[in-house]
Amino acid sequence: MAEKVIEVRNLSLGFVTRGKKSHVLRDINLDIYEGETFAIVGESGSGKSVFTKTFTGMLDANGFISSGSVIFEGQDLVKFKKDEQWLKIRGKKIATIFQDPMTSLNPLFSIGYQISEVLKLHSKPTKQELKEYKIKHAQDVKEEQEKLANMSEEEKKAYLDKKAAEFDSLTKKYYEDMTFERSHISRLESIRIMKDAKKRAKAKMEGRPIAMTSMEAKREAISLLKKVKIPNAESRYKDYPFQYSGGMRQRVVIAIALACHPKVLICDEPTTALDVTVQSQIIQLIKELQEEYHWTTVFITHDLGVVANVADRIAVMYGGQIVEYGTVEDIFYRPEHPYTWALLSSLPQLGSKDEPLSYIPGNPPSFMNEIIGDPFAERNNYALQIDFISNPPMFQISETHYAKTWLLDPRAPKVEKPKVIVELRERMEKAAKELLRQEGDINNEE
Amino acid sequence: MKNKQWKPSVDEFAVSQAQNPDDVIVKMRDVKISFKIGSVERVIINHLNLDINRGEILGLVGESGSGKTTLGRAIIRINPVRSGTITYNNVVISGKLPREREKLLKTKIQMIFQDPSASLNERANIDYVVSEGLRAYHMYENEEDRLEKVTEIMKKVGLRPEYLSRYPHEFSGGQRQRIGIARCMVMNPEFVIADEPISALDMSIRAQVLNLIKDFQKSNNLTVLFIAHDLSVVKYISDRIAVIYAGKLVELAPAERLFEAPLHPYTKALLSAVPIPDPQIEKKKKIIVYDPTMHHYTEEDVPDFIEIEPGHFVRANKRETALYLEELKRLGGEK
Repeated sequence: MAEKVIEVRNLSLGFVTRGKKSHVLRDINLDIYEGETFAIVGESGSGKSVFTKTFTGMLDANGFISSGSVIFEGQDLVKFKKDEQWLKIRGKKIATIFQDPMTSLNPLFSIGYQISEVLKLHSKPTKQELKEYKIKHAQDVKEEQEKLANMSEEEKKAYLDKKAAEFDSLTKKYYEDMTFERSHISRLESIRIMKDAKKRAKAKMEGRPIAMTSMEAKREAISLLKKVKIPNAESRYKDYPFQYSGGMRQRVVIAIALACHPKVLICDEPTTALDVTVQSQIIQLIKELQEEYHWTTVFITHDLGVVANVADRIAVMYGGQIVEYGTVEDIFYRPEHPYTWALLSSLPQLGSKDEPLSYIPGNPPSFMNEIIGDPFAERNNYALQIDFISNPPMFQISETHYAKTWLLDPRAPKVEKPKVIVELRERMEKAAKELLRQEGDINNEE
Repeated sequence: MKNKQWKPSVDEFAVSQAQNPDDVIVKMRDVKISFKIGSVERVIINHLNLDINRGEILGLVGESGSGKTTLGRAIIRINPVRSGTITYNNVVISGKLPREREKLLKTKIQMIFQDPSASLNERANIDYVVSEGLRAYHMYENEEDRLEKVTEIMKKVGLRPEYLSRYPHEFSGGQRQRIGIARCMVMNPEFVIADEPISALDMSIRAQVLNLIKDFQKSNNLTVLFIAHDLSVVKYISDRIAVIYAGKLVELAPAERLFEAPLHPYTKALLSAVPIPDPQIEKKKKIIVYDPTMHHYTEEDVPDFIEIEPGHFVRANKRETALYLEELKRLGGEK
């Protein structure tokens, strides 16, 4: 098995509202492996977003982590206190794509500005690097002065000429880099590019660490926009978020996330605000880019249909707990938890015309009161008496498949799964046949 | 405030069989809807013809920006119609109307909105929210009568009458949407426009709302225009489905027939985009992307909305018609 990227141990988390403590996440244990796509499924209010917010330290000010640890690259993220510590992780190593692209982009700045801002910010040299450079540079200058003092006039001239030639060739190289695959470069812009090329060349010769220059960032931003398949990336660089459609905006947000080559990409309901055609395109894009960049995706959604496409492993969350997790096949073909049954059977794709769709009655539990027993017990048609008294432990079903329900206890009575779940395979195949029939037809036409 | 019940002098929309033999409730002919941004006119919908039959649920499907909401809003007179006519029970309801007729119309047609949290007045309690329509049109005899009506509808949508004194923020998304439906159904409308009523809801509570709309349709013989972007949802609820792309209807068929024999490439693209909750099938499937330039329509061979088989309409020109007919034959042969 691949290496663990994020290791969550006994994580519990709460919020303080009006002087009252509420416990939202309770005792979560989870491993996320490198390169996989891990999906977290649950209703709104199940705590799935809050859970991933602990990875990037974006918990609201009234939130507190009461116990547990989140291990990423050998560091415990729970212990982070300063913003500086987070800056090295947030955006750079763990990036997030949020649900509504309009709120995650600033309406007052152009798309290009917002992407290059990220590029420039994250390429900034650290204080340590600058300090090292200062010491080294002082030495270099000293050495060079001594060297020059020992030279004759002619030697000195030859040395300086050589240096100037080197500078020129470097400048030329950087200029070409920055204009690579660009069309329509205005005169003004070419002057700017020249200026930045000189800046970069000078920094290179001195060995000075500098942040990305504006024109380098622009060049990079345009290539990122091309990567997320925005047509006419060069002319759309200057456009503002309101000039983009919903799907395009989400692509821009993905481009921003790409900018730093993150190790983990958290997609927090990235397609909920989009319609189905755009949704399938965005999911396709995320999958393609994942193959190219080899990151780990944590995918949050309430739609099990979407998950079937992207996920390798799935965790089902309810009431601040993970109630079932396993590989995608485990969850879809051998679901064991009543909540997973309920979620699967409420999918409209599987409904047939003559029977009403099934749904989960009632509401998710409120976190303000302490939850006794299984949080799902009240809405559960299969609840046993013990569900109201004590919280079930995590039962292991197979090597990869775990579920948190008393039904799996050897002492529990045998229950029959709901009709939809028993017929699940058949129904899915029927739905697939109806929806995908046209694929064959198109091939026939050609 | 007058508590006298409002009664129109003449019920212009009363249905007589002689007047309306084909039982079409809403008829749209050559409808054009456009918006002016500054001096630029942007045409959203042009030359649109659509009939909605009495007692059916018509699903209207299209991507965002295709004009499906605009069309729904045009029927209920929120968006003005530039040209063409919309008739309701054979009475014209587009353009300028006598005041009486407009008032009457608004008691007959109601709308359910997409976002339940944005469409409910957060400063008003549920009693006020639900009975606002009743108040506006004086559709009750006295206070007791009003309260009775409101209580009854609350029970019907599965909410307790005690909730009437609460405020919208105290409810969950699914409950809020049920309040939206209660507000619409308390007017006892004949025709309801449901504008993406479940897009903003969680998967687990979508089914509740869908079942509720279907129940009302059966019990009240309601006609529903159900606007959505997801074909899987519409398939379950509707009798006929219309697919709209860029302000033009591209296909219209009975729900089952559309899934059996989708003809227009855009319909196929929409079908392929529906996620299937099965990892093996889903990972194998290919998504069809619709390219509107693929038709190569020429000036001599202009596309038209034609009836390719009884009840199944598709937008095609002569060349494509032949192709589609062939495809239908092949699909029929497979059976």
